[in-house]
Amino acid sequence: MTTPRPLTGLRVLDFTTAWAGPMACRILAVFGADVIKLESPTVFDVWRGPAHGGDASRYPNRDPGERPINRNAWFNTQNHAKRSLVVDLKSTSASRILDDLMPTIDVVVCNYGPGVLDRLGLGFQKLQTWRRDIILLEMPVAGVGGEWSSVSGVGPTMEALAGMTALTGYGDGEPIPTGPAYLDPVGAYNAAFAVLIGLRAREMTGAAQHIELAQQEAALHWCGEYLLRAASTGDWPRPDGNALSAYAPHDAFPALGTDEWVAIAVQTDEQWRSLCEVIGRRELGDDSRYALARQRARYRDEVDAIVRQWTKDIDKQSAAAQLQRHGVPAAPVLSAAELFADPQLEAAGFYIEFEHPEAGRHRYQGLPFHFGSMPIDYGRPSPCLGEHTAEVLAEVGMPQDEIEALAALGTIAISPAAASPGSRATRTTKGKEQT
Amino acid sequence: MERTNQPAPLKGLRVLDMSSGVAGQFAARLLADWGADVILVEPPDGAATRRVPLGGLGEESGDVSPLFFHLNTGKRVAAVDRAQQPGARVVHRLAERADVVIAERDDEEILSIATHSPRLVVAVVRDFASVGPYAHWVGSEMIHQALSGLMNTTGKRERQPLFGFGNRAYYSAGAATAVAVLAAVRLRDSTGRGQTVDISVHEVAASMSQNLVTQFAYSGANPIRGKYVGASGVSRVADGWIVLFCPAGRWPDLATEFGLDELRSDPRFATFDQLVANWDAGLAALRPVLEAMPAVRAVEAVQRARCMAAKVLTPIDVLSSTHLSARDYWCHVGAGSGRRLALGPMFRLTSGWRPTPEPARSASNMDVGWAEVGTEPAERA
Repeated sequence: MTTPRPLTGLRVLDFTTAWAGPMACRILAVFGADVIKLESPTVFDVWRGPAHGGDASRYPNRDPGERPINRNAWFNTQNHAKRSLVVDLKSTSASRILDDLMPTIDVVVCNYGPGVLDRLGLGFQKLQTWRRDIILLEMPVAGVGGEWSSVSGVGPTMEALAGMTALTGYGDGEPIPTGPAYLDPVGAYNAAFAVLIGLRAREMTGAAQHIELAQQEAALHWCGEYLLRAASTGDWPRPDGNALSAYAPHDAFPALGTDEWVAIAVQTDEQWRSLCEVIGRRELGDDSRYALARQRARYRDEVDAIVRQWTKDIDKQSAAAQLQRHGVPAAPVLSAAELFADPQLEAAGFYIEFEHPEAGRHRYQGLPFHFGSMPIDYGRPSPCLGEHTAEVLAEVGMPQDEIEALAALGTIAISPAAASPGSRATRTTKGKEQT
Repeated sequence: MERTNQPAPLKGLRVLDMSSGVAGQFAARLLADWGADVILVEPPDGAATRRVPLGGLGEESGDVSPLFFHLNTGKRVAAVDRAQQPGARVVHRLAERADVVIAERDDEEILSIATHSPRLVVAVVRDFASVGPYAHWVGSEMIHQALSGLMNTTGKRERQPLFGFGNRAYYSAGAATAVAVLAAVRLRDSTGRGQTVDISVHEVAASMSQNLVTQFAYSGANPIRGKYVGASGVSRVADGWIVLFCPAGRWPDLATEFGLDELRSDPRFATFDQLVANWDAGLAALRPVLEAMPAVRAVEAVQRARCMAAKVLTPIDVLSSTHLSARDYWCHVGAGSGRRLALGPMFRLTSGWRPTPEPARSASNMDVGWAEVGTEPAERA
């Protein structure tokens, strides 16, 4: 028998696109849930990319291949351990399939825009007719009730609403968005937590649970101390590059090479003295002008120039390692190439490797969970479109001839090649997505 | 209302929060929000989060820092000196009777309790995994974002990379810890056996980079900062700034919405890949129109073209948002002169139990229900 896992025996319908929803369901999948990704034969998860290929950097060897939607690095990162079921929900025979499938579903996760589930006949009321104790998690930008109820968004716009963008910048007043669409993985962890709470609530009451995770509201917690400070004083610390007014040096410093940086975050006076030793300037550690944090912050330009003088000729990895050996917080600013081969992530067991039937063998980023007596099982690689349609429908009791008939009608797609990507496939879903 | 009759989802779950930093305390706060009985045990001079300066600013003396208040809403707190009796005994007793302990290091005593309390879930959240070359490194928010790939892709091309602000990697690690704890508790409820859960802030931050590892594995792509991976950017508007995002296929309508019909079929923006490649030019063309409009109208215009946009909200904008007040998002906790604003729950069970946060309250010198916390609270500056 296999190791029991926290969500063994639960079936999740993953009706999501892009990052936040798919990553949340990926977490549920590695915790043992049977996650079925419900997909359309014509309009794909936007991270499968355009039907005929898009940005070459997302494909193996920059080659979109025959079926680019099965070879997209972005989709293939966030959908491990799931099965793909392709059903055209707008077709007249879709209800037959749903009548068989939906009673077996414990949890539905949706990150499409407000109203999409209702328009497709999958709203909370309807779901309860199939499954009295269904759990539905929806992930709107802002939630029902105020003037933004119907707003759609993506990571970068949600981040602006969550107060994050205004807190980043070079000190000239221009807000700087976070490089990655940061609200998405934030939303993913929050959504996985919400589903686990929903399961507890269902177990206690036996009742269906409708969870509304407004991604803006959840992410405001990441700025909690700034919001509460502003509420009590009317003010908050303005962004000023990487500088924090109580600390110095606290910045990314140029290291040997082009666009190479080492981040140094001195937070205590002791760390400053250690830094002075490492850079061979012990006398500065005793210099009263720089002894205390608030003085160093006052002479920030001088302090930074001293540090820069040392970093500019040293490899960023070596600079960080020397400083850390003496207890000074420092790190190389890593590029994707370096993140791909980070010795610490390697030692921690963060990387995984999959042989994907259409993309080949590659390294993937994993999840940060380590359980003492339950090895994380990342399961199968991300599914090809429709790879498990026939398997899932057979499991819920549909006869083989009927599956074949529905496939012939185009209501379902039972293999990647059977999906018929048309020009619509390059567009995003009609109802607008929250990524 | 119907929901008041429902029990809190985590009712009866006893959590001992031994953490001193943001990640562990946030994880325990999330559990407290949903009804867990959480006791934060602080050292006699208080947890570090009481003193962490906000954005580098010092706190007003004598006040509870907004960070500590935010992280510990809904908990009971007790200052305990574990180096002496009865402090050591108190912690031992609390841990023995807890369902979950959240710690920041391998605590020999807690781990030994776990060996004879097989139902106990022990979560250890630390900066770096305890194996590997960074095992003894000192972390901070900027250090984690430097290592995560986020920093290298945040900021302007010609300037230094930016880490962002605050404690985002630590909050994220807190959320990931709460997820892992609930998963372990769920498994325990079916098998009868708890276990340890290890979370490192470093790995959590790495899990949030934009598919950088896989994308490099697939194609060798090594993105640089200053260029978002889609058609998205910031623009000034008459009363502030907005963020704009143009999905595939929407550029022609966006151009029309801003009275720039001649750009509909401009060859620079003919395909989505070209639009992304030439996005700076596209956004530059929209800017003069955007800069003359207030944010609310600019956002409406963008949405009419079925693109996404949002005003860049400052903390004050967030606090005065009529949407959030119509949603009844904010909570007021405490009473009298101690009454303070708190953030609402992260999500809602629309027909179920709704959290009503309370300020952290002292558990010193009392029977907390599982054990007596019989030490004197230490004076704090």
